[in-house]
Amino acid sequence: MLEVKNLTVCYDTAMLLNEVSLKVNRGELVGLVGPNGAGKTTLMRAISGLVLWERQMKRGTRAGNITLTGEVYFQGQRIDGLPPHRIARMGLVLCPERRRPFSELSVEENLKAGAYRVRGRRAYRDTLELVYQMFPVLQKRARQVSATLSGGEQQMLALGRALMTRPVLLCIDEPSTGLSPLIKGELFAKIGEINRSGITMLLVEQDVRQTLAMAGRSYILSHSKIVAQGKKDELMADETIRQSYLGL
Amino acid sequence: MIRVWLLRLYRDFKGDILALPGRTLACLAVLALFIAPLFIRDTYILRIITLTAVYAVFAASWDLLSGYVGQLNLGHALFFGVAAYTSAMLNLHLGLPPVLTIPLGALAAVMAGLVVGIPCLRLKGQYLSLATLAFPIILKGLVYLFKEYTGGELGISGISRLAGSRLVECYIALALGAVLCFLIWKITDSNLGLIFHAIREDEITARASGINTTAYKLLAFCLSGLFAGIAGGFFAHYMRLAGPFTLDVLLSFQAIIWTIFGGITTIYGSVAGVIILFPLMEILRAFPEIRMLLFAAVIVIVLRFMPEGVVPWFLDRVEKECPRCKERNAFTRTRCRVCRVSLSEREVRARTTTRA
Amino acid sequence: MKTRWAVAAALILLCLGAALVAGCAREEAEESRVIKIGVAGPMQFVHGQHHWLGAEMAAEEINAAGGIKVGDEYYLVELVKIDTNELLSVEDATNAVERALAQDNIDLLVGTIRTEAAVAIQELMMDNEKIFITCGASLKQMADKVGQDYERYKYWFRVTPLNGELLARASLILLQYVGQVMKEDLGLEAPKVAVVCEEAAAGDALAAAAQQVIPSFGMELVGIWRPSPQATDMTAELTAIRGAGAQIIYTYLSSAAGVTYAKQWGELQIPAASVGINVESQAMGFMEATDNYGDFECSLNTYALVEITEKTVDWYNRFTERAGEFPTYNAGTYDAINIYREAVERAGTLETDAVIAELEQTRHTSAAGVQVFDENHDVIWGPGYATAVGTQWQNGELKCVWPYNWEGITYPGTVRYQIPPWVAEALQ
Repeated sequence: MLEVKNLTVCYDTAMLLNEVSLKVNRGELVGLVGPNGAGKTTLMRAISGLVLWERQMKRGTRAGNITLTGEVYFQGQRIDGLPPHRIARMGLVLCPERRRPFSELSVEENLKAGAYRVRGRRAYRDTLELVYQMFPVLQKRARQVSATLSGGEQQMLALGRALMTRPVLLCIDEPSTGLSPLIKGELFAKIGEINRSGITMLLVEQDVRQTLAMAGRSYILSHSKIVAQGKKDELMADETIRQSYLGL
Repeated sequence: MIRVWLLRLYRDFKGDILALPGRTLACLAVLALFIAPLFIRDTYILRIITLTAVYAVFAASWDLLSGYVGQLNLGHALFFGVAAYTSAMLNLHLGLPPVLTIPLGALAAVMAGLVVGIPCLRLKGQYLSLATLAFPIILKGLVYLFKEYTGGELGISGISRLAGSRLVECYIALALGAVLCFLIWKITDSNLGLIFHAIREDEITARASGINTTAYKLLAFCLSGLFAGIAGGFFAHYMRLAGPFTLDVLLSFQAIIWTIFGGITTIYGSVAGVIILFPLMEILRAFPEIRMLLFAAVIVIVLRFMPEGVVPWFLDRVEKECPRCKERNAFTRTRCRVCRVSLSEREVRARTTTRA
Repeated sequence: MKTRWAVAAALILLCLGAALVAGCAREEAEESRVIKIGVAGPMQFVHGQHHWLGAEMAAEEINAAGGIKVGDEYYLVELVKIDTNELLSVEDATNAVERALAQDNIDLLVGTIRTEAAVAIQELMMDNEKIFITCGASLKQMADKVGQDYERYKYWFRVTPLNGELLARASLILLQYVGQVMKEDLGLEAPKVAVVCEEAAAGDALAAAAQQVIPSFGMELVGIWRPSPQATDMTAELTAIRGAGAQIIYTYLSSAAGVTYAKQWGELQIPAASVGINVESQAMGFMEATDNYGDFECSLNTYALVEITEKTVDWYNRFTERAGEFPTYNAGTYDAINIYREAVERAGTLETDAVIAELEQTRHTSAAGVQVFDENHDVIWGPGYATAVGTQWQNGELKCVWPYNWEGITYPGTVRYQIPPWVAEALQ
């Protein structure tokens, strides 16, 4: 479904992604792990079109020297030149780092804002029902201003909002940041549930153990390059990989 | 002893100023501005140079408050007008000479800074800006109301001259302009400037670090008022007239336009903006019907291609930043002048990826 | 790398080029016998345009006749157009005049209109010790300065308009005249007067003067209204005036508010005659601007199509043809230049002090009247001199209605003031 071929991203003289290639097939839950500063978030942003959008916004300024080479294919179509809103409309949705709710809006308004792909009141209500079923806490706090939610609730909200777009491929960037272990457990359970409901997922995470356990396949990104990929057993079998990157 | 000091000065000059094309050009420009009046008989061009110097100080003082401390001041003409009127009144009614009235006018502008700052500092962001917009308008209304003292629309005229000839006046302006702009720049380059920067970036963190942000913001208002006030006092004596046009909303906006055009938050940007745009307005006299239209078109087109201002764009073209030590280098260099690291882009990129 | 070199080189060349252009901008001093007269005014507006057209007319005639005779030689007149933009920026105005002084080397200056700018330009011209003849600003203090510091201000003269005090006096006499007509025709004993003076320095003076003088005319003051010069709606004031029972409205309106006022006065059919100073009503396009509701508005004026002097009618028609507009007081640059010419020809030299001495002796017959300067170099007002005129729109035509048997003067062609028909009807 998603194919990234030799993607290279440079911000000024710093190379953030160096000839990165990966694949995500329909129905899979693919993990992407790696140390801080490896380029995971940049890869997410590049796939969803935000890097080129940033380049357009910063054209002419000191920070505007951004280059992107390589190809990204989604469902057979080439998307690496498209603006972010077109990519999202095609069904590739990013649930960004640090949650980023619309803090002045209520929970329900946030979800509504995410529902632009949905046509018709019936469909909107049905999707909302689905999200509320998956995240009952959101329904409880439907009228509450989203800035006042706890970290875990905000992450649920971000996921819920992404789900409102009825995604085909859902990319999630570090959802467990700043959450307590108990909430993390709940979160990952939900993520598994979403995947089982038929939505393909690409999960970027710092929590290696959980990710490897959940994912069918995983990639390890370090210093802007893919250094390893494979199923959990394959990766754990290699001593060097286990010690240097997985810390297990 | 003096020789050692001179040698050190020469070494610093060669190392810090001549090494960078941006700074060298700035030095040359200042030098040219100081030498040129001697060869120019044309009083009109002397007038343009004088007013450029005055407005440079005015714009730089705005940049200090709004660019550095982040308190976007839409009513900067208040300081200018208060100082102009005060100098004029002191000169006309008390007969004080300009050398006294200008500093006293500046002090009045500092008072005005306090009057504006204290209520406005309760506000943040857009609300602060709108509040500052109101003050010169209020003062203008007061000026019209108390016509007996302020001369109403006609202002105060008959003020004494600064010096006997246009040439001397020009040099006084240039000297004042150079010294004051340098002072403002020095402030931003000092510990005080650091605190201002911190307040602008994140006031909460600054507070948490023990900085009394309110006091420092008030200080910024007063400093900005002081420098703008000196410019205003000088202006009144140069024009021999202090009128309501010194409190114009358009004058406040001019400072903003000049600064953003030249490059905000870099004092040299606002000075460059004045030096480019003010004479441009005069040159555009050749097209009287579309003068303002051309002026606006130039600004819009330039900002489209140089969104951060003219000077940062120019400096980016002629200087490179070293990837390791972050020192600026001339674009002609292949190795950093401080850490000898290679500056060529290809090698830099190669280096950042081989570590994998 | 190459592009950076290219950019740097281009920028340096650009700076050098700009410096060269600036240096070469100055014109070479001309050897030929020319007197350069600067004409200063806001050239994008009607005032400046009239400054220029009046000056142009004068210059063309003088040059056609051979030029100004200085001793045994003839000097041609060359005009320098100075767009001061003074209505929008005083500083711009002073810069423009300084430029003309420094680069075009003008020998004298005529024009200006906005008082703040005129004051600043006066200082500038006195610094340069060159003659400056104002043709638009009426501030009396400009003339007082000549008396206070003759040596410095002797270079300044005013040809038009009359200074503020005289304008007030003349307009009040106009009011008295209209009151007289109202008394005679409608049998009113003590006509009630409402004063409408725009919120400006000149308006203050006129309102104060009106307050003092109206009772002595045998009239009653019923209220004073001070609208803003930028007012776009005067229905409130006009309705209040109607409510106060006013039968005459005395106005001072020098801005575009004059059009709004007259239009709404006519639309609402306020039963009061309108007289005073309404600068907009002097313009040819006034009827159109007020949708014809401005008919019967009466205002003080400098020129009218009557024989103020033997020169008036001819000059008035020639100017109207050239400009497509009736002449306003700014066209007095024509007189200023001719007065200067006569002074120079009498002095026989261009030497400034000698010319000033002759200027002080001026007795010039022009389209506005006989122009003589007082000891403060200000134009004198009075019977036998420049009296100003009162013009009224009567059925879409601008007629001169005053002086009408005033101090023994009635210019041939003057008609009697006509009370607006709806006012006469209402007050019968």
